[in-house]
Amino acid sequence: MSRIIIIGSGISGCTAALELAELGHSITVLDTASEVGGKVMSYCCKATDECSRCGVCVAQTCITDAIAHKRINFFTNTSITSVKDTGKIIRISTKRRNNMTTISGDAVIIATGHQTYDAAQKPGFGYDRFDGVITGEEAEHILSYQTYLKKPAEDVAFIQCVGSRDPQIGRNYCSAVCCSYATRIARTLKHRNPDGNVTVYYIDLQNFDKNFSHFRRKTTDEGVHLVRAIPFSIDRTAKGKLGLKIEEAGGGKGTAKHDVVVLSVGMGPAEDSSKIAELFGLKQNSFGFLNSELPNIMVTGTCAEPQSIPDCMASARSAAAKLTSILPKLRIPQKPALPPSEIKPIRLLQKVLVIGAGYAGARTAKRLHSFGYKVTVVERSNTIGGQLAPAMRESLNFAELLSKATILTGTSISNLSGNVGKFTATLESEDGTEKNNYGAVVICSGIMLPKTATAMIDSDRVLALADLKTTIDRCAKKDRPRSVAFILDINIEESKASTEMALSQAIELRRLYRTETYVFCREIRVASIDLEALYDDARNNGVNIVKYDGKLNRETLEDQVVITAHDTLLNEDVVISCDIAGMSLPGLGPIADPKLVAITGIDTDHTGQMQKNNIHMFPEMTNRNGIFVVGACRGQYYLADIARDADSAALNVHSLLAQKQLVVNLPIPTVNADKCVLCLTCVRTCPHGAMVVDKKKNAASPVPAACQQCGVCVAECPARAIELQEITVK
Amino acid sequence: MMKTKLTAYFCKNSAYKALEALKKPLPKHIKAIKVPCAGRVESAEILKNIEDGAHKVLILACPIDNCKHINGNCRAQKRVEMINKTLREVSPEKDRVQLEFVSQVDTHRLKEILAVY
Repeated sequence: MSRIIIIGSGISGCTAALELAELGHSITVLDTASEVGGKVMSYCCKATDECSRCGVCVAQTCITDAIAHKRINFFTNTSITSVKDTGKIIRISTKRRNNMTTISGDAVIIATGHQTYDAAQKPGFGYDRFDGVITGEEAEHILSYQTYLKKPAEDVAFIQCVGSRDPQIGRNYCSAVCCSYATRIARTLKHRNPDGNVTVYYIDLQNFDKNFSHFRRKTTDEGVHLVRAIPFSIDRTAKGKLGLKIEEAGGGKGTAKHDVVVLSVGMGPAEDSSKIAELFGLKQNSFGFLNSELPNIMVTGTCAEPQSIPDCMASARSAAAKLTSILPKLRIPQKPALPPSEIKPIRLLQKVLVIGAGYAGARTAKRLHSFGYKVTVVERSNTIGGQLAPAMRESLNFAELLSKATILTGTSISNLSGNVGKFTATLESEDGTEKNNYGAVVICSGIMLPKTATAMIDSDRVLALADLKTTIDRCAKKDRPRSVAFILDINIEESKASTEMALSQAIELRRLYRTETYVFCREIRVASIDLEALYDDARNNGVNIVKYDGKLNRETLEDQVVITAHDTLLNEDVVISCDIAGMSLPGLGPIADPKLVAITGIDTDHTGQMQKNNIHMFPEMTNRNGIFVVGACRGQYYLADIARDADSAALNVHSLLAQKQLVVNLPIPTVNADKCVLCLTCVRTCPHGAMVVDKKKNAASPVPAACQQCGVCVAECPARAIELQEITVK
Repeated sequence: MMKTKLTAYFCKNSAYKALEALKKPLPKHIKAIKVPCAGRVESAEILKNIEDGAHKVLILACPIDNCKHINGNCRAQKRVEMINKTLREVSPEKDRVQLEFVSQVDTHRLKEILAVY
């Protein structure tokens, strides 16, 4: 058992604490505040009838679970006075009121969180003068105890990027979360008061949802005005409303009147960040966010980078995974079974199958190996590396990631049966078919383009974006294209990964060959700390950025590609002819391999990616226990986030398999074989794929390892043959 | 006047947690039932409540796409629509069965919903 100290009891700290405590470590959580939970405890639910996946409910459950956990001790009102790191043991002297105590631990996780930008520093918005001007954080807090902000039936406006993406105040980065909370709150307010006006003024709307295009369309359909404009001052009008002066997208000036204005204030490092950095010997980046190069000190959550709640939870799990691989291995204590359970414990095979040898698969395999599992990586094609460009493979040290795993290239999976603990996979290759058993499965199968989409990149002049740079590099000097177009967001809106890929390639082409570059996109997505700088770099290097509305006409002629699009900033049509065009694949609406989806029985969201758009599953869980998804197959393309998700998935596999045997200690449904007529309604409706047909009994039968005791089968069974005692009357 | 007799089903993942967070005992005319998922509530059981004298049956489910069991809440929604349609054919009363989506964080909304009865 190792002792781990966590600084900060917010959502990141609590997630890491819970994961490590479940693995059997003893955790001490320190916080300077008087209550556990941090900022997330005062946030509101942003659901209409439909969940908007803000993650507050999941976070609050996690924090309550952490508080109740017997191996986690919380020390509130505690500040740190000094730290002594011997390399093996870290001793932290703490002060709690007048008591000085020294706590020692084997490792430290720092999750001190963020603080929001002080809106009063922008005097034009009158935050400290007008009652109706509030910050996003205050809006969250107000909506956590009432259904409206200031009064029922109000006209609300949100102003984005207050204290973010602003080089003048030294905050030249995107805070990554403001677009998500503002749009979600806007939608909630509109839902509660359909007659009221809700407007969001934004510069670039960041992609914050798994199905962002869908979410955005729904939001605008419901009547929320999403307006690309920058308000620069607020004044009180004669009628007591707030008058906004606005710089419109085309360059003109405009005005608008609202009752309440919410300033979406950005995130900055917490006040005590420099003190923490000094105490623990950490580095701060140019904006003051922390990062650690020490093996036994991890930095996670919003003190490392602005990020959303689900991202915080994933990066906390990733930090816990990194620690787990360096801490001594533990035998995980058995979770106590409830008194006499008739079900025998289920043995968990200590072998893991990873499907796909792209970056997600390789990273997961490496992490799993560091936990001590036998990993088999199955790859359909004959090469490893997936969609990664050759240069990236080198810089990520790709071969090393896969060095310890058994790699089967040219192998595909034709069947997957069984359940958690023992999945039986049928592997097909040229050499024949073999059946192997695995305890858990991680799917990192990447994307597949639908036929209509592949048809769009068939010519020599229109390539996939990832291949563009290498193709141009290979050209002889005289054949080298003079102008290149990067086409993003064509069918669906893309994430920051595509923006990064397009901008970095465009910059390189500008620098190396002085190529004319045009980036067609709906928005610039810069929701990561270094992407805003990349965007600046692109503009300084003369990369032309055309923001279009999603409708783009492309004509491929013999020697050039002619692109016609409507520029939403200039509000006029632009026609650009270039030598070669690169299409970004995620924008073409890729889907996960349908055959694999059918074999594994995993739910897909309505764009055809794996994993339902359900906050309880983020980032890597699926509807089936023991099967996890990582990477592009679930719609995640950003490499740093894939690495984080892969760690998180590996930790999830570890905390599942390290139990060695699974004890089901909750009642599972019982099927009355006399009543069951084998109509298969339960098999069809079970959300977790836990109902199978027992041929011996000639009746349906639940699989104890997969059943989650929801009782849907009980309610759906037409013969009323299933019983589950899980209802309590109060 | 006697208040509406209400049977309320609370999903243990959302509404029941919100109810606990309210820290207020429910009035006597509300019968609270904790279920593992809104999808667990059978149509027959809902009708049984009405037969036994409940004026109204309330089902509190997680918001759509937030169900821990993926689509239990949508199943409940379908059932409620169907029951209300059938009941409307029998009597022109207002819908006797109501479904509300409440997450565990939305304690104030739960309070508002319950305050009507």
